Parts: sequence; C-alpha cells; structure tokens
Amino acid sequence: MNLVNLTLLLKRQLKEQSQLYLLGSLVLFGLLATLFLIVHHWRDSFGGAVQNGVFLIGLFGSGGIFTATMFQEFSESAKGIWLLSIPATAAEKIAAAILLSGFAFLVAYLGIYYLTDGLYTLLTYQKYGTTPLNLFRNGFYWLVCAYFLFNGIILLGSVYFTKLSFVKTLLVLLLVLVFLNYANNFLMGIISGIPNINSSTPLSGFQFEHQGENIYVNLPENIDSISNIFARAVLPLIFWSITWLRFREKEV
Amino acid sequence: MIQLNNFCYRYSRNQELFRGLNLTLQSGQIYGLLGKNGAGKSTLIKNIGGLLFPTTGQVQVFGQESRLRQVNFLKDIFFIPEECYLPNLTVKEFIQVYAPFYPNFDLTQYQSYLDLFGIAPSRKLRSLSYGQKKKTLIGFALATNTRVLILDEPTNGLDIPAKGIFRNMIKDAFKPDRLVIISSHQVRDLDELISSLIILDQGKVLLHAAKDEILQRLIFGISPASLPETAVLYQEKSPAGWPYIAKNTSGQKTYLDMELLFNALLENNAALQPMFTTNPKIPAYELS
Repeated sequence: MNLVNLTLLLKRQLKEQSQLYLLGSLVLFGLLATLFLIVHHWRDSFGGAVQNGVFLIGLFGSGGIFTATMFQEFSESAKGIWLLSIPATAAEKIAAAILLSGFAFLVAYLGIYYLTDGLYTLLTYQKYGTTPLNLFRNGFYWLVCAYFLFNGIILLGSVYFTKLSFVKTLLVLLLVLVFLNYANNFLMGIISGIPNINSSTPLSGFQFEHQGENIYVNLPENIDSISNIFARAVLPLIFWSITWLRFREKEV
Repeated sequence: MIQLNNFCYRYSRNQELFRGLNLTLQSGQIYGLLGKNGAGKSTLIKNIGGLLFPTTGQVQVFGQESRLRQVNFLKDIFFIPEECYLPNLTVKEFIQVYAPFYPNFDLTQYQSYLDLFGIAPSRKLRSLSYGQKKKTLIGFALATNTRVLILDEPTNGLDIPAKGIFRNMIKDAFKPDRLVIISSHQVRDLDELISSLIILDQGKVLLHAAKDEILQRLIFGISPASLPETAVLYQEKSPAGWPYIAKNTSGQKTYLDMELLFNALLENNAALQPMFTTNPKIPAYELS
C-alpha cells in the first residue's frame, strides 16, 4: 500500500465530487430536519426513541447511497476503463473508497446529524425535555457500528453489479435477510426444541411465546460481545476483502 | 514490447474470438490495427491494456502481465477508448489531480497542446465539445509519456482539421522507445501515420507487416480498365477506375492503399498472405 497513491486517490475523489458532496450534505441536512419535523408533528404516533430512529434511517439511507457512488464508474464502460487505468493498485483504490464511504462519511454524518438534532433539541427541550442523542446509551453504538457491515455489502455490490448496483444490492440483501430469518428460526427450533419461535436475530438471540408471554433468549453477555465484534468488525473486513478480490478481477 | 503468447479469448463457452494467437509488437512502431466491426480489435487492445483477461494464454507488456494491472504497468500504458471520459474538473484541476500518477508527465508538453487547441486551463472539461475533449485527452495521454499508447477509434467524431491535428500530435510526440497502437476501421485516417499494419478478421491476424515490407513486396496502382487476373493479385472497381495490387517485381515504391489492401485480404487472403512472413522485419520509424 503506497500512501502517496492513496492520498492522490482521495484527492481525486474529493476534487471530482466536491460539488456533489456539498449539495448532498445540504440535502441530508434538509432530510434529517424533515424527519425530525415529521416525528415531532406526529409525536403521538412516534413513541420511543425517535432520535435513534432518525439517526439510523439517515445513516443507512444516505450512507448506502454515498457508498454506492464510490465505484459508480463501472456503470459506464468509458468511466470504468478510466478508473481501472489509474496507476494505483486495487487495494489502494478499495482503501480510498472505504476511508471515504466508511469512516469519513460517518464523521461527516455525525456532524450533520448533531446539527439537526441540536436544532430539534433546542426547539423541543423546554416543552418535552428532549436531550441530544447519546450514542453510548443502551449500547446504541453497536447499531451504528453495523454501518461498516452495510458499507462492505454495498461496496461489494457496486463492484459486482454493473447497472443499478445499489438497487440490486439492496434487493439481494433483502432476500438474504428474509432467508436468514427463516433459516435462523428453523435452526433455533432444532437446537432448542422450541416449536413456536416467532423471531430471531442471527448471532444474537430469539423470541418465542410461552403461555401467552413473550420470552426473549439472548446470548450470554461475553459471547454476545464477541458476536457483536464479529458482525461489526470481522464481517466488514471479510466483505471489504471480497470487494478487493472482485475489483482485481473486474473487466470492462 | 508487447507479447501475446497462445492467446485465447472467449466471450462465453460457445463464442470464441481468439484461439492460440501469438503476436509480438515492438517499440519504435506505430501500429495500425485494422478490421471490420466485430473483428476483435477492441477485445485485443483491451486485453493488452489489462481491461479484459485472456481465457487462456498470456499478454505481456514490457514483461509485465497485463491482467495483473500492477502499478508500474499502469504507469507505462495509456488507453483511450472510443467513447472517452473526462471527469468533472477544469483543465487545471485535471492536471493537478491526474498528472502526479504519471512519473514522466511533461507539463510543458501538455501546455503546448492546450495552446494549440486554444483551450484555457480554467475551462471545465465537460463544457468542451466532443472533438476538444478527445484532443485534450490525447494530449494528456501523450504528455504522460507512457511507453505504450493505445487508441481505440481515435478519429471517430473528429472533424477534418482535427484529424490532421491528431496525426501531427502523434507524429511529433513519437519516440523510438514508444509503442503506439491505433485501432480503427477508418483506414484512410491512418495514412502517413502508421509504420506497421495488423489486419484482423474474425479473431485471426490476416496480416502483420511493416509498411516498408508491404511496399517491397506489393505495388499499388490504378488502371483505367480491368486488368487480366494473371497480372494482378487483386483489383476492384471504383469511381476513378480499377485500383489493383500486384507483385512488386520491379522494386518500385508506390503509395500504400490500405483500404485496397484491407479489402484484398478479406476477399483474396490466400493469394496475399503467403507473401508475408509471420515475423515481420521492423524498420526504424522515420520522423518526418
């Protein structure tokens, strides 16, 4: 990995897309503000942790779109040729995309989110006692870290699919999630011997009904932490590595 | 030097384009790669550029395997596709962003091209006309001073004066350590520019010879009337008369009519192809 090349690639991406990123930031600010307005206006319908909900919708929605643009060059032959011909290794090109769409985006998103959240808090504090979102309350940061896994999946999709990569990747992801849900329920049923499992989360736990009560079965805390680290750090690394392998084999 | 060893390429299991092709291209040459649409020109040059991978066999550019797309390989090759792409930058920003990737980039050289085209550094690349974009990109490619330059249909979309400028740019920037491949089906655009010819048809190399070698062996002429078949290797009717190709027994040097040669090879390959060796003699390219 050559740091000079990596810096040049980052510079290239930022220079070429600076207008788009600036406009995108404004749009994101507007969307988050609109979401806050909706949840505030219909606050009786949106009970609970609305700030967390807005944060996640914004993060995964905008992050997914942003990540999908990293290799949008592959949607057109001439652009794809241009990208592949830039004198840098596939690893450097992937690393630049991960740094921008994974890490830099998250930092920028946090800035934009807290700006809107700050305004929301300012306007609602007196009447409803709203405080800014605390990422470290109730382990919410684990959900935020799941963004890296999502980033890895979308990046892989953008290299794998040529046209409409974001939509196709989301469709595949949806199908996989549905399959995983049923497969996990089935597997949990076999392992635990409980026939009426209602829902389950892979690598986390499941829920079933017993004498009219919902029973939640979770992994022991230490194993749950390992599972969380696996899903938020190891799995993204695996997806990023597959993206790199796929990029090396990319033909246009 | 570019070397293709036992090169095979398949679009799919049932669709084969190249089978067992061996080809060597030398530095100091401007190759004209000719062929009809679908002959395999773009596939061949994309394989050389590392943008497509051979099904079997090897493609090497200066000893580096194309498909690996190593940084040193990418620093030494510039590929301009038929539909060229330029990013959303000004000319000045474009240089700032992309020139550092190429260690031999010559800013003065590029500046001279921009002056020639009358393009200000503050101009947005996307605001340029198609021809201006193409010239800007060709100028950048030449200024990178990569040892290999590959151009796919470079004259498509260029007006007549622009075609002349293009030919002069290539000739002026040519150096003995450089290897240029120009793929085109517009053979007349390459006149006077190329030093060697490669003619492809259906994935096969019909001809691979230096221009000088072709003119040593063949004469090209035009007759007001059709000549006896025994006197010529090939002839066809045209509005100006009957252009023909015959064996060069007198040693005279004529003008190489590439279009005629191209048609002759497609129609009467058996008579012409045995006249050329598989390893052509490569003359030193003369800068005029």
